[in-house]
Amino acid sequence: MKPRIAVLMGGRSMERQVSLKSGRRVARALKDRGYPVLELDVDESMVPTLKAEKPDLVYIALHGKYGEDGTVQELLEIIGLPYTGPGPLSSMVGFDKALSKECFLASGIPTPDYYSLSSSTLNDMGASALLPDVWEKLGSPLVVKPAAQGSALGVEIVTEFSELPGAIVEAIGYDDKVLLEKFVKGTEVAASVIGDEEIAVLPLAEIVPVSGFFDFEARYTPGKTDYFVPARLDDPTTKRIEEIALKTHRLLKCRHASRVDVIVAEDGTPYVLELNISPGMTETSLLPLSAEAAGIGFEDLVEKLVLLSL
Amino acid sequence: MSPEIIFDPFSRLYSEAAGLIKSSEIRDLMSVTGRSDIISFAGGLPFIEGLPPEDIAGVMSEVLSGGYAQALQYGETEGMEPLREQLVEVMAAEGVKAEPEHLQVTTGSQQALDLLGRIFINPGDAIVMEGPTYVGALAAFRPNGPKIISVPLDTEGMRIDVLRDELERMGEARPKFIYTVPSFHNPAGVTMKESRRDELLSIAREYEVLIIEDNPYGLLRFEGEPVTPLAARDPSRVIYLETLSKIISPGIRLGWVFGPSPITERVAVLKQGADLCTGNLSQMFATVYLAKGLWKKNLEALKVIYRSRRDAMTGALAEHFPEGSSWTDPQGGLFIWVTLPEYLNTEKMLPMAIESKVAFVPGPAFYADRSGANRMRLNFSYSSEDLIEEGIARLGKVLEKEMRLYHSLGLDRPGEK
Repeated sequence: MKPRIAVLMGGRSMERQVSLKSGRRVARALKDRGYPVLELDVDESMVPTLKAEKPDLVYIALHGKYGEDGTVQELLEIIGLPYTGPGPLSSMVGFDKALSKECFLASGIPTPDYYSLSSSTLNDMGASALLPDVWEKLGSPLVVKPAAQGSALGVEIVTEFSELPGAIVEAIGYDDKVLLEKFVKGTEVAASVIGDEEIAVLPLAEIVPVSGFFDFEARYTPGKTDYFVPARLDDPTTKRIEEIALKTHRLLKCRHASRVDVIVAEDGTPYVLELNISPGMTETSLLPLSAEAAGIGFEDLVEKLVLLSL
Repeated sequence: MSPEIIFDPFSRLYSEAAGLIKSSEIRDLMSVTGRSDIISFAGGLPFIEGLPPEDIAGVMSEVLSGGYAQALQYGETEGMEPLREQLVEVMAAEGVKAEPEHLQVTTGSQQALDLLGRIFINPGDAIVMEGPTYVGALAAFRPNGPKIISVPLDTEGMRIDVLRDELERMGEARPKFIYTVPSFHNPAGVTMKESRRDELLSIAREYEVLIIEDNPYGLLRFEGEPVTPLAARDPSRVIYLETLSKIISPGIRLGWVFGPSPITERVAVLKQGADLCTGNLSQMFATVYLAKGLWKKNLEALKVIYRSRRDAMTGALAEHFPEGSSWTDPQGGLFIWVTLPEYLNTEKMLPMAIESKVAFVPGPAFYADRSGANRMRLNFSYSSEDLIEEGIARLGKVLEKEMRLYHSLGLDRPGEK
């Protein structure tokens, strides 16, 4: 008898729809491989159901808050069920872009310069008086993004100082903490890493949004972005990115799968933008794309992740 | 072998209209609002739970025991004759006189909008809509590539003076039609007053323009004196749309068009290509439901409920919304339209509202030019009075937080740096 697997998806995060797509696709792949599957759209019945059903493994196909930030991981630790992806601490750090960037910097992983602000520093400490300083130090354009949010929701590239406060309001809509990050012009590359004890980088995916910006629309509308797998980079650059991706995966103690988003500056330096501990599994997601290029079909990929987690 | 990955190999084949379809974060965000733990003022949902289940079951079994073969068969494109006879009665309740043979049944009013858009609009043709306007009408007309002239509303409906100026300015390039929701406007909640209705009709005659009068909510008046539809005053230049969605059920997908017969005949021809006919099962259900007079009973019950919910919402708004906000006070329909202080942005506010488990539709959805950033539409028909109070209180807190932040960033003092 194959192990019974509960697939967590949906929930109440802003990426609910993306997560439902990932989750249903994963569940279908598992069923096709003969696993008994329990699909759970996360709500208040989740913990009682998991306690009663006692699945052999929980596959976390949640994206965004509560699913990627350590919340669900913590609960699964208490219930005592094995699950896909890293533990609570890695999830917490991975989901908070400011925390993970600090980790990158501390271990010599290049990442674009940034400052962070929160609504309390703005409201209670007059931090808005610092915006001209930030603008001067980081230069224009500036990327404004919520510290904890996926799918590029709430992200804006600001080229005029007068647009900065409005972009901060938008980003704070998604998370109380906001990053103001130096914009690095270059080639966007996603490095997907799989494995646990033994880890490997899958072929790199190069992302070329038709509009120039890999935003929500570009991510999830087929045809709005061109992808090249493997990325059209020279061997030394590819190798450097692979090394950085492995280092990042290990540094944050990722498990089973992660995706490291990198931008290769025009001078050839790869900068790590962020780390995803629960990479998307939709039809336009990057991890399955890179796996495919390595000859690992979607069902094989899902089964591989499951076997690693058991 | 090229390493390029192509997700949609057909993207070169799409028509220009289909090319406009894309994933949107707002649409994805709205999907969160369907969850039961969120108080949603976003949808336009009528309170279906108020229909007596025994009535529904009785009507359904009568339909199936009597004529299941017909109910499950193809039907005429125009719609079933007995239904059209009943619909004439529904129209008469608001003073619109029509003969059954001049009615064209459609799969919801939405289908009528789609078909009319295709009948009248060539790319670049001007049409007049209200600003704000019904989002579904924008969606139906847009793929045909119209140039949309927006005429603003005030508490007495469409600004006819602005309409006249626009028409004068356009000169010979007349718009193909003027689209209006004169009673209990969606999203604005306002009703066009008597004198403006007559003025609008006289403008239509003078400039030889058609009017599409969309009247889904007219019968849902719970306060004040009825105002007769444009089609009851002078049907000669009016294409009149009505629906059973708000008085019986949106799930049965039944609407109809009444207008000059050359136009309804074209609607019929196009409808044939679109879906051949509207489902007989729905039509027979509605025929029996209407013939038994159950709809009148249900309508009276709905009006009592909606009035009380409107009161709950305006009361809660007065208590929880900040100074400098205003809202319409509808005498019927489903929606209240809120205007916040000029500098606020309801689209940017939506994620925080959803995080606080309350939802609304941001203003820009209702404008052809996506203006209206400081406005929002609130539905009052679907949530109970308690949930309305709680949801508006939550929105009030979100607004307070937003305003604090705008203040800290100096965004509440436009003009200053």
